[in-house]
Amino acid sequence: MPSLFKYGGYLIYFWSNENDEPIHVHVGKGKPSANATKIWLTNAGGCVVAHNKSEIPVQDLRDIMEMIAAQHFWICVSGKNTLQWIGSSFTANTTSTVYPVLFSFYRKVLSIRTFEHPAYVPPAPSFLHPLKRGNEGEQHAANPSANAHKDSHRFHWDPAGFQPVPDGFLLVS
Amino acid sequence: MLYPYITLADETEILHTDIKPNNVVEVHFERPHEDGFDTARCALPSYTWIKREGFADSEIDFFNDFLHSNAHLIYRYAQTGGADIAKSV
Repeated sequence: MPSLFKYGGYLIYFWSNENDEPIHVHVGKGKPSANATKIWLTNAGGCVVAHNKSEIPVQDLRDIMEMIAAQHFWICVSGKNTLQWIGSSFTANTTSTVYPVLFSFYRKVLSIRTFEHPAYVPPAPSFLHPLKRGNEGEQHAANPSANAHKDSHRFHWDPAGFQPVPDGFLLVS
Repeated sequence: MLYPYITLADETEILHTDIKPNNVVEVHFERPHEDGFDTARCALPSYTWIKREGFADSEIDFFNDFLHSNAHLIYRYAQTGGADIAKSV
């Protein structure tokens, strides 16, 4: 079971033979388990709690999710390399009621409002459309160099400009 | 003072300092091996490598990307004296 990193005594790892699901990681202390807390990675660079069967305290869970979101880029690469993960990170099925309910539950009960990566720019009104990572396209046009583009969007995060995504649609990539 | 941040799967320990004058935070990468440690240190926010011993270029490239994605958390925890969750271990 490929482990990714340890954070505050918690191990964050993949569980093999689960590559028919969106990219996700498990989190827990002690012996790794397929039933440990599961966190999906979203296309927008964030993450969402699928379940918390490890019963991680809320404050720890929030810190862990923030940390996982910061590692989003290499977790996805690692998942695809080590597990041949075919699918991309999570994209909401807007016809499903499961994901909106899950998200709504965690947002209300755990007070977890925003899991977005700092590079995440709130989606345009067309948030039901396939992922556009922020204003990536515009920035790319302004900075044709791939590296310049990568650097340009990383730290242009304006918390004041953040608008929570409506219930149920945070997961839309 | 050094504060633990995370530990990668290859046992590379990542730590950071307090915020120093000029808002500099040093991030340390330490990986144990049979004869000691591989070591790298990078100063933020300039992303200047001030020490490199043992890590391959590809690993340093990865650390660069890592730092760009984690600088916001590293600065927050440098300001607050380390992450609570990491201190509780």
